[in-house]
Amino acid sequence: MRLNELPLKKAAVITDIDWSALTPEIGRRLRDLGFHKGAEVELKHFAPISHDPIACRVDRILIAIRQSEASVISVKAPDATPEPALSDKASPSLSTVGQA
Amino acid sequence: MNGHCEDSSPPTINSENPLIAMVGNPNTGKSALFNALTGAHQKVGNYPGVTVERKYGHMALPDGRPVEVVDLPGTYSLDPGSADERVTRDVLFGQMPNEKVPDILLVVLDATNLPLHLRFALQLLSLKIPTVFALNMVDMAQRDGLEINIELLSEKLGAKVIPTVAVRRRGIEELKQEVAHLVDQMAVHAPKKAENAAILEASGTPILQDISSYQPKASELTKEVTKVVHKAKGWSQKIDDIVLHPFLGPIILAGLMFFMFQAVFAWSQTPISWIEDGFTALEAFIRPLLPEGLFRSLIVDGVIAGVGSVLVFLPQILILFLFILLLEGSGYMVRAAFLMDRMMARVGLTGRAFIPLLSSFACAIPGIMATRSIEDPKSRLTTILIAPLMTCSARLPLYTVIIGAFVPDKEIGLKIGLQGLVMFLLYVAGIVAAMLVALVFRYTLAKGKSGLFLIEMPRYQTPILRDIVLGLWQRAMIFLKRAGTIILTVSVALWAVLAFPRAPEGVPQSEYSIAGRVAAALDPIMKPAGFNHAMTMAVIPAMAAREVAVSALATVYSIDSSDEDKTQESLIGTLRKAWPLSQALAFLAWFVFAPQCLSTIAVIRRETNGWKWPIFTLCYLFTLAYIAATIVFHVAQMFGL
Repeated sequence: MRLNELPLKKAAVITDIDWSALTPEIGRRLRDLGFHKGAEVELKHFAPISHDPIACRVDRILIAIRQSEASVISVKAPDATPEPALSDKASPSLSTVGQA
Repeated sequence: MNGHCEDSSPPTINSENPLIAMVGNPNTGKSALFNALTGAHQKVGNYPGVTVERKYGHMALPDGRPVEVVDLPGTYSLDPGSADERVTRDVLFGQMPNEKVPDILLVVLDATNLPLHLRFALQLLSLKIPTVFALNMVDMAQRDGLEINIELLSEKLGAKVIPTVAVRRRGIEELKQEVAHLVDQMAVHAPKKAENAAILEASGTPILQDISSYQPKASELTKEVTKVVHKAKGWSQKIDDIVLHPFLGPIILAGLMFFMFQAVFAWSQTPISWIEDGFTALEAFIRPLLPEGLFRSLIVDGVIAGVGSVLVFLPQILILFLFILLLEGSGYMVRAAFLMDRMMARVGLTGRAFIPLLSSFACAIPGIMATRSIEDPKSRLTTILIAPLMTCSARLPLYTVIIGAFVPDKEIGLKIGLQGLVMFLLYVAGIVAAMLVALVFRYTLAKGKSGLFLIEMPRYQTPILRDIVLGLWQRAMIFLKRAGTIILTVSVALWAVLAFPRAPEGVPQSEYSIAGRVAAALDPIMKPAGFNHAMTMAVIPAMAAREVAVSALATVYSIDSSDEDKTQESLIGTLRKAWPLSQALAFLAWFVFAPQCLSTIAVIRRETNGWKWPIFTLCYLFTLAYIAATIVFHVAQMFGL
């Protein structure tokens, strides 16, 4: 799952960041703000109407990030068992938004 | 050419004294700590060649010894990034011309977010400059339920850690003591420091590891020194749930903006009238002291009237800055940018452009200065170029007079007045034009991706009165300095253009003057745009500041200007008789675009470091003004107006 597809207010962990999809400056900025493999993330807010940008918590700080950058960050819910149920409920509406 | 309109000359510091550099991530309360340490003994300027604020201050150690403090721009790492961050890196590496390498580092850490801050701390320690850490916002950490073992942290870092709460001035004395201690040691360890500097220079720069390589150690260290006592209360989160609500959020933002504009206009009326009264009194005092003649005209009509016409904007600018400082200090500003990002992205800008453009409604000068927070150079340039299109307060006197003369004062239903509607449409015209121009620029001149919107949203905090007052004071001084230099010079030059050559008896001075002759020469060019001779005449002195057009029109129509209300009334009457509606509308359309404000052009020169962009701004805006006036004039004529 990608960071921008997470259900609201459910903690997850960054499993991978596709650095090759980012310019060096954007990659550096993401590292600066504490995006790294293993960091805890949580989707907190969507911007009005278009749901872009989003606000997410990374470890202890809140960061505003656009969908385009968030979509290169792969995440995984920390305990895998309840995940299917959660994503079933939350993903249809969110994934359509992500595409729009 | 340089240096004239600049405040970029490095403030003098005593290079004999030890230099302390404050370093840290953004949003650590570093500025608040700097203010607490140095008080009013600060000098704010620019680093040469870049528009990065250079903040120096003076501090006395507990035993009275003086040291200098520099507040380096906030940065997350020493990996070079934006202009701000590069300054920090260059100063620390001794690669900034005319800047001393700091003797001691004061690294500010946010106690509530150690994993991120310790990472930078570890990178800074590898510079091997004597360091003291200020563990700031310990009160917040406590509220978040974090207990930090400060002794252990000091031991692990190998440098003293002092808990502080900058906004409440807690830990300031202890910090000064530790700085004094390091200064004492400096004498003993001086050669060692020089040795390190040599290593840096010999090997170039990259002896440092990438910032993310420090992450594991920082995370581990955080775990070792922190004990979670209870869960965080998360009140900042609760505010965000309301303020960033997809539906409520925009409504709150719109309400705040509306209140801000109301305040800028409503609260400023009284202080503006004080300033006006002050200048009237000054004029009345000076006039009889000087003999009738050119010199008196220079002082009264040139210097006093010229500088006075600009100083009246000080109250509005200060009120606007008060709001901006409050919104910034509280942490709301980034939220506003978040809410507006999508809209700005449509025209190729980022949410960060919202605040500068908003400020430009009061005055383009603070607006253009506020673009410094936009990292992407192309987005920033575009924002600077369109800022003059926002309807600034200087256009209001002119709009008021022309609308008063030509738009009937009647309601068009729902209690909406026609005059108010026209005023509103003029504002909208400016905004729409700005958006279209931005779009064009982003596809041509400043081509590139729509910029990056990736920022930390700091937790909310109560703005600190002392810092707000200090900020306002610094802004006021910058503005006054400008009024005292460029605006004074320009006022005198314009006076000369209107006062020379002296007209013989019976010939109006304004017609006989250089300005009058230039206007006569421009008449054939301006005619297709619907301009009559009086309009062209008024536009010339209004080059310095657009609101001068009103008094210029009054002069051209030789109205006694002793009483301002009477002037306005009779000017409105005269204009109504003298101009057809089509010409009046063309005149309004001209002023929506015309870049008639030399201070704005000067500030664009300063912020873009050269004459290319200010000259471009002049050209493109005058072209748009001419086209708009021509179209409006001919369309209005077609409708028989």
